[in-house]
Formats: sequence, C-alpha cells, structure tokens
Amino acid sequence: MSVAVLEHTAEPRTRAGTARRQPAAYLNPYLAGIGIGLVLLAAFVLVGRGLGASGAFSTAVASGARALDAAHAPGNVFFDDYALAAPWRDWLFVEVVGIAIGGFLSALLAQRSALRIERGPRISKRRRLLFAFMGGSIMGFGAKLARGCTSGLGLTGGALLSAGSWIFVLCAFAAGYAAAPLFRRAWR
Amino acid sequence: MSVPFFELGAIGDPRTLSVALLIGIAFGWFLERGGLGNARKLAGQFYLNDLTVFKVMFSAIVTAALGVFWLSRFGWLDLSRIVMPPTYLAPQAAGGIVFGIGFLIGGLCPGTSCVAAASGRLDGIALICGMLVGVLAFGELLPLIAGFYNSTPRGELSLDQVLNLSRGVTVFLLVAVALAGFAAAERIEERFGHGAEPQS
Amino acid sequence: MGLNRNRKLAAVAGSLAILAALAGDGRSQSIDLGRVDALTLAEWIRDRRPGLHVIDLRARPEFEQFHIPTAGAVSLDEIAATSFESHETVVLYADGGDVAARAGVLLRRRGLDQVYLLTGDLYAWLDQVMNPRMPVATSPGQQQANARQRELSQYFGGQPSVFSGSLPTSAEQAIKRLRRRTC
Repeated sequence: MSVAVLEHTAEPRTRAGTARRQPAAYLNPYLAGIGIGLVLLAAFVLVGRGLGASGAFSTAVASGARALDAAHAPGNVFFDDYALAAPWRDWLFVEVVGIAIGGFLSALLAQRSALRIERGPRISKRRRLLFAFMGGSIMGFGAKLARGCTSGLGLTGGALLSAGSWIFVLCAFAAGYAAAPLFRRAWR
Repeated sequence: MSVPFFELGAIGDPRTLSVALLIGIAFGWFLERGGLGNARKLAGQFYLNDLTVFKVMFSAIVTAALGVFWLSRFGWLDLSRIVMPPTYLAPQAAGGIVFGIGFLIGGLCPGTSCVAAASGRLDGIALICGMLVGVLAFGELLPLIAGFYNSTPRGELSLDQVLNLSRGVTVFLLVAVALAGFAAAERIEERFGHGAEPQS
Repeated sequence: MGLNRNRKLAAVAGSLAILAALAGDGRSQSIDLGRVDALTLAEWIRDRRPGLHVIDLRARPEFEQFHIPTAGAVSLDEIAATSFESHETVVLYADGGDVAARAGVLLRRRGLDQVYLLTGDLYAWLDQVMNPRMPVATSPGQQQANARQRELSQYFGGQPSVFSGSLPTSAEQAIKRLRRRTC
C-alpha cells in the first residue's frame, strides 16, 4: 500500500566511508496509540491519576520563581499552588522527565537521534526556531488557561469522558485547522 | 481489593515516584515510536497529509476509555477515586483555541516537545523555552484574568451526564466516532498525503 | 497486511464498545461510605456526640506521636474482629491510601450503618483544625465560617492564622492543593 519513500529526517552528514544505518520505520500509529492507552490505564490502576505534561512546566516555573524570590507574587494562586521546595519530588515533574528519557531511548535505538531542526521546506532555520518559541509561549498560556494540555486533558480527560477536556480538544483542533492557511509557508 | 492501589503521592513517596518515572518513560517511548517527536509530522495533521496525531491520540483515548469502563464494571477499578479534570466551560474553550494556534505555529505539544528535545531537535528545545515563558506570563497575569479563569465551573462534569446516557453507551459512541474517524483519516491521507513513510 | 491488522483492531474495539453499551452503567455494586469533613468531626468530638468512635488505622508508633483526640488505635486486621453497636457512629481515618476505605467497607458489610471516612484523612485534621489558614473575611458568611473554624481550632489546641489571598477553606480544597494539580 505505501510507497517506500524514506523519511526526510534521516541522514546527518557522515564521514566518507561510514554509512549510517537507515532510521527505523515508525510504529503503526494505531499500535502506538494503543500502547499509550495502556500506559494511561496503568497510571489509573497504579496511582489513580492519568498522564500530564503542562503541569510540570507550571511546577518548574513557579518553583523557580519562588526559589529566586520567596516573596514573589504573594497570594497569587498559580505560584501558591505550583511552587515547591523540591519539585523533583512532584509526580508530574518526574513523569515528564520520564517522557524525555523514553523519547531519548526510543530515538537512540531507532537511529532517529540527531541534532537538527525539523522545519518545512520553505522556512529558514532561524525562523523555525523563532516560530517554535512563539508557538510554545502561546501554547503555554493556552494550556494554563485551560488547566491542561493534550496529555492531561486530551488523553486523560478524554478517556474519563470529561466534558471540559473534550471541549478543549475540539477547540484546539478547530483553531489549528483555522489558523493553518496562515502558516502554510512555515510547513509546506 | 480494588485499585488504585495507592494515592497520588502527595508528598513524593518513593514508590509512587518510581511509578511516575516508569509511566513517563513508557509514554515518551510510544510517542517517539509513533513519530510524534517530529514537528513536521505533527503539523501535517493540519494540512491533511499526515493524520498521525489524530490516529495516535484517539487510539489511546479509546483504549483507555474501554479499559477504564471494563475494569470499573468488574469492580477492579474504583472510578470515584480517580482524579478527573474539572470542567470550566469558558476558560477551557478559550484555552483550547489559544493552545491550538500555538500548536500549529510551534508544531509540538508540551509532551511531544520533551520527546523532540530529547531526540536532539533544537526546535523542541526552543519550544520548551517558549512554553516556560508562556506559563510564567500566565502566572503573572492571573490576578487580572482570575475572574474569567474561574468562570463557568461545572465540577467533574462527564459526557454521559451531559448527554444523559449511560456510561457504556457514551463509551460506545466515542468508539464509534473514533473508528469512523480512522476510516476517514485513511481516505484523506490517501488523497492529500504525498508519499507515505514505511511503517511496520 | 497492515489493513487486515487494522481491521482486526477495529473489530475488537467495536465489540468491546457494543458490549459496553449493553452493560450500561460501568459501576459495579459499590458500597457507599459516608464522609465527614474535619471541621464537622471536630464539632462531633467537642459536643461529645453519643456513640461516636474515632478510629485511627495507622501503626502504633505513629498513633502515639499524634492522633485525633478521643481516637482509638485499631489496625486494619483488628477492625474485622471489632464489634460495634448498630447505633454507634464510627469515623475512620489513616494517612492516605485506601486503608480507611477498606476498613469502612468491612464494617459496612458487617451491617454497621453509620460508618464515615474522614475526608482527607489525618492531613485534613492537621490542615483544617490544628493549623488552619483562613482567608480575610470579606463577607458575613466568611466571617461566620472563620469564627467557627477559629473556635474549633483553639478548642483542640490548634493555631489558626489569617492570610490575605485565596486559600482553601474546605478539606476538599486543602487536599487538592496538597495533592498537586493533575495536568
């Protein structure tokens, strides 16, 4: 069914004579999804909670801010809730560190580790990094406003049939599709 | 005895933190395996040539939703002790829209950005830096928007309550919609996608 | 080849979903346990509610170190062998986990009606009674709530204090904060 067109994300320059092995094929998305679903289920069963990601960023930011200045933003619920003396003992924080480790291991074993910038064919590296930063800051704000992100609300809330989570997912996808034509040059 | 076996690890119980690490590693592993550590692949979702995001996400949701339903049905999982995200209609809709725009511009979500960064992708690192700034900005501005942020709370509202159907039927509808979506996704990819990648 | 496998996966998912629709509720016959918050329990103890038994399910050394006044130490194993009169009220607490819930289920199965779990376990007592932080009263309702909390806290030798800013005023909120946000 599929034409064997190789990924663009391959091949960093290698020294002459040493051929780099081809990166492994991606796992079928349905199987990857089932894998993630089972991981999510395991989290429910073992510790009564689901996956998440944006919360760890909140913990990092709030803890860092209060570590630099203990009296920063007094009475501000965000800092009060998320600032910890030992953020590395926060469940979500540790989980997100795990995500990085898991991603690292998988990429390494699949020959997909490479110091590079993923970008569309018509955008410069600098622009891509700028867009990544911009997109990230907008997303960070949006995730906080919605009290979660695609992992915490989309996956966890979605599996638990939480109404607000589904509202979030639908709005996020709708907004992405609506804005896509404006950023065509960045990706296609 | 019904699960969950132990609580959220409020104060960093070493056992629950070990679970956190393992769960995270498995999550990151599967994300990378599915190709979600690649911003171009993720952005492809919005240009209809690569619907991997949809397929992975909804396969995961369906798997977990069915698992939760059946484990609960057999009395092995106590639903009332699972922490469910609270619903705030307006902020979550608005936050969703903002998030979606950022997702399109950046090409990665918070979880996948860690995978990307860990695979050496500099755009992933840039995105993480951006997110920290965005989160900080939110924290600083929170006193100004607290009214909106806390508006329209609906507690732990679930779809079965909204639709006034049983949980089982709601799960069924979810799965039905997902399966239909998968079928549509395959056809859309065939039409708009150029050159598929080799997959196992 | 891939298509066949996808079809099989879809078939499995679809069957489980259809069965789910037929199964309906998704909750097995679970036992309903009553819950009491820390401030209400404090009132019960202060007002010497008749037939009240407060049970601490933790280990002895921890119990000796601190326990809710008038509580008795009974372990999970011993609970099965303890008998209560049907008119008595039993409040169970531990320090997290599902220990209290399991003890509650055991007692309910033996026919005891008034079984309550202390919402938030010992943490709630510490947070709500021994060391409550109350927000500045901006309304008569809040003033009343603060007064009640302050009174109860002082009765048990606690140290109430007042903060400006949004702080939890119920055990649920305190525990949520304690538990960290989940997303």
